[in-house]
Amino acid sequence: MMNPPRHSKNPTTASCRQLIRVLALLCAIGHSLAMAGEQVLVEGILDAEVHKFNEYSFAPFSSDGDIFILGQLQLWSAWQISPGFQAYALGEIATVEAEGNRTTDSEIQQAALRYSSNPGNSGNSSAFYFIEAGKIVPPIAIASERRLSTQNPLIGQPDLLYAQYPLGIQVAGSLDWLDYRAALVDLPLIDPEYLPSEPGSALRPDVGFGITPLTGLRLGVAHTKGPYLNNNVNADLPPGSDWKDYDQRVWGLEFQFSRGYAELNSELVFTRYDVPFQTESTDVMAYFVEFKYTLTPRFYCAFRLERNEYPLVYDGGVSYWFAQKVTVHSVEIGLGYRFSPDTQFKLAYRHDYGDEAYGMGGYGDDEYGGGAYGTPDLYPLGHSLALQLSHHFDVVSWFQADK
Amino acid sequence: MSGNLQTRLRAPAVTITFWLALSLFLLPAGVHAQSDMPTATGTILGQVLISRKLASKRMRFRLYPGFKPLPPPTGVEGIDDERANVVIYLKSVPLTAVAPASGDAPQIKQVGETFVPHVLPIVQGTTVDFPNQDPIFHNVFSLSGTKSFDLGRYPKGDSRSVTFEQTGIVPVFCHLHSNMSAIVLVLDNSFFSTPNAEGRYRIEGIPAGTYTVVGWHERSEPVEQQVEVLAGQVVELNIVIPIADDEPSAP
Repeated sequence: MMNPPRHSKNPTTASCRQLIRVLALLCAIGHSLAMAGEQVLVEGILDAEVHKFNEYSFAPFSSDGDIFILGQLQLWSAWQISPGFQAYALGEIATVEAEGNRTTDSEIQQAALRYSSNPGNSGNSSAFYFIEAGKIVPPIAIASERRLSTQNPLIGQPDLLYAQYPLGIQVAGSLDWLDYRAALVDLPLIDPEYLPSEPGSALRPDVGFGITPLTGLRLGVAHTKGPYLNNNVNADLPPGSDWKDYDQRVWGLEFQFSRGYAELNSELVFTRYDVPFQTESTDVMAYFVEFKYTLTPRFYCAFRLERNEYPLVYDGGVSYWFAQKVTVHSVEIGLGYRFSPDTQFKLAYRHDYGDEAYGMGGYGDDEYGGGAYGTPDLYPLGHSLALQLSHHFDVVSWFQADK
Repeated sequence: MSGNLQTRLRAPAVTITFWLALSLFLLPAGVHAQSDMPTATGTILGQVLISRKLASKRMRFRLYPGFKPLPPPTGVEGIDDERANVVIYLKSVPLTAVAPASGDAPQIKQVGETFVPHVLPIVQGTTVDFPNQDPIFHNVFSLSGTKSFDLGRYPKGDSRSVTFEQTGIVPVFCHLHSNMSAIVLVLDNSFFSTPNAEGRYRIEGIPAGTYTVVGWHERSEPVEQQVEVLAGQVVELNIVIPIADDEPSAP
């Protein structure tokens, strides 16, 4: 599932054409290299989704009760430059249609060079690390690594750590039962919907480690700290301060357990924001618990409980900054059916509600059926129903077989 | 009275013992006669040649590598090893000639994030074990119409079993590691063989008759050839498994 359109950039036809050209080029290169027997991989996922919301749903796609249709292609390619060295890129193009309007968006989300200490010579080695640099997925949230529709047991995504694709460098690996990762990235994990503007680019550390005391159980912690505003707000800040003086600090706890036909993933995140002119920081907490159970070889079911506190940081001009917390609870239940190992269908129902309905008209009025500032009915109950058909494909394999 | 009773009880026991002894005497003789009938069966042997493209390796890559090392590249190091993924079998064998499955349950191990062997030919009705020898979970499954199953996640040292009742091709995968795959080729008879490293194969004990010999590889169309097996004779039959625009390898 793509990032919510309410966060997406304006449609850019030129960039779409450019992306299509790039992807076509990848396919052509994949074909050529496959024919030459070289080390190349070109894979993709094609998603088709239909969503139906009621007026007040807090689901990622808000279309005021209309039916929302999404078509999305994610395509990635990797090259084995030399043993241990790989270059890879992932691009996404998505078309959404709601209320008679069609919007197309595209983005190169990941593009990086990766060096692995183990270039695939020993799958049983207990020590392993990799270094990658470029446009990467930040290593803070485990959910971000399970965002592809083939990995996500539901259709919606956990919203506690918004998926950004920063520029950065990362080192990660494992040593027996210990895993670790450390990165320097230039963007925070934050939903720009709740900020005065898109976060600016500034280096911040992301660190984390985890332990696997027994197979199938992993406990992890993560932390990051860095600026979350941008230089557009400098004029509204206290004299002598800079947007980089105001930090977002994140502490994350990760829990993963699986056994037999059951799989549990959970994440708890505390986030603290420094807000200009405010003597106290704004603290928010979010978590999700996601459970999946395989019923038969083809059928599985899943649910996700989610609680998100969103920090609405408001820049009302010089000396007029404040932040409000908005709490939204969500539950999503779904049923999946596998037509084949590469093709699956999902049906999911999502229910949202807010128990602390405070906010500002400027953020909530149009999109969330909101009322005036401070009214308790800003986030009434909402629900949505969604269908998703996703198919994974491997371009190189098309050229390596005779049938 | 008691003596009569003893006699009456002993009489059937003696009878059973007699027939059991006779059966034990005759049974091995029969088996021996069947397996020692050089005049009734023949042998097919030969060389398997395959396209170089069938041995092409696949790159290992994980978009989100997690914290575990990458497994070895899929496929094999060379064309010689790829011949191990070829199966030569007889099609349309008369039921009377079908040998039953025997011996220990064959295995497909999960080791180094790879299914070993990659291709396993079996006779229908055979139970296959799937032991996990990796220090991580695997989740073996198949959605094949021939046999669908999901073995769930189990740790190193554990094993699960599946019995394959129907003939057909059963692709096997791991939910957790998309680069893992294997194939169980369920056949209706035991007259099959896998070439050795030199590409030589041999199928023995074939009742005299005319058969279709099939050379099978997962990425190629099956290659079929007719052959007549004469009693007590050895038939030499080379199998070439091509991909249209590639030359087969030299042995």
